[in-house]
Amino acid sequence: MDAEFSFKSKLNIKEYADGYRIFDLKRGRSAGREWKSTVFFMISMATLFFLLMSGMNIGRMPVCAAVFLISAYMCTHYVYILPRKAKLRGEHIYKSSKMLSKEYVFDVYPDYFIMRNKNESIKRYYSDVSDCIETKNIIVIIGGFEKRFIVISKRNIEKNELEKISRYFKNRMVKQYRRIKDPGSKE
Amino acid sequence: MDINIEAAFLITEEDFVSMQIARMKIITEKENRVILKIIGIIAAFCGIIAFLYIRGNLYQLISWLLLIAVGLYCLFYYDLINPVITKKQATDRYRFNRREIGSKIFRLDSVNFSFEDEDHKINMPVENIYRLTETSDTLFIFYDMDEFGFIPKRVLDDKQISDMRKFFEEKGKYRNEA
Repeated sequence: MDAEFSFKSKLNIKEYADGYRIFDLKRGRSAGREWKSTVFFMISMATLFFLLMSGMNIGRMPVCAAVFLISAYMCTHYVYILPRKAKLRGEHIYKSSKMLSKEYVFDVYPDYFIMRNKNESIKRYYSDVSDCIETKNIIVIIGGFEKRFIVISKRNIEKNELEKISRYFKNRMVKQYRRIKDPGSKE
Repeated sequence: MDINIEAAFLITEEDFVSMQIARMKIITEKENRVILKIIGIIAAFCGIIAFLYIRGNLYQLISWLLLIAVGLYCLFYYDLINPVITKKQATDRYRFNRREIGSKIFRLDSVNFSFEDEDHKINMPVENIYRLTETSDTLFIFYDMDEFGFIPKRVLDDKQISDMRKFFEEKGKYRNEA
């Protein structure tokens, strides 16, 4: 069976790092950071309230003070530190890989697509995809057992071709598809 | 060193669960584990001392007990609690992805390395491999810091495992996490 259409993609370090950050926020270690940071924020506020009621007498309520500090740190960790770490980690992964910087050809079929070059070939069914997230510069396809996420660079694709690819993925992965402004802006 | 290994195998649920538990240990930085254990020991110790000798009113007694509980949780998190959580998640993930987890063919020689299944084929020079990491029952071949293929040790004999170990040690790309 012939592919419906094909296109090429070659990632640079920034594109991969942005894609990794999106994956991490959605399905990786940073997943669920909104509710986790909210829980720790509420705990820190509650313990701060008790401390204020006791006149900030830490000697009388040392556990409360310790819980406040830990909760405040964990809230900051989920809101600020984890997303920054994720992008940095993406950059390190890109630098450690001999494969990620190579050009891939994407052959798109009605039920799946194949991503291939001379060293690697991956077949991904749309039904195995949990998320398809498009930003201004990349498309991140999350899901599958091998290679948990795939990042497609839009940099070298013609505008009319890009619209065709977006429209096709949006139609094939209706529930999974989302467009966001930039990495991590809306998770 | 010359090497020539070929293995075809099916990944069972036990293989996948063992792999995920081993992977969690690999990716968790040792410093984090040590720091959490130290925090746990300090918290539990302070809680016990306070409960036995300081005591106080009911609220404070409950605080000391909570402190002991948090300390024990931190102390045993990576050794007992995390493996249980990981096992549950790995089992669910295996059963959800059962269709994709088929048979695999692994080949390694002095020049090239390949890993194949129905949907994913990778074939690259051995020099491009990032590292071989060995645990008690799994061999991880990392293509980069994050992505890897894995071989349950049960599908290879002792000589093949030993040859792989020596081969990657010679290249400075071996790590033992057993």
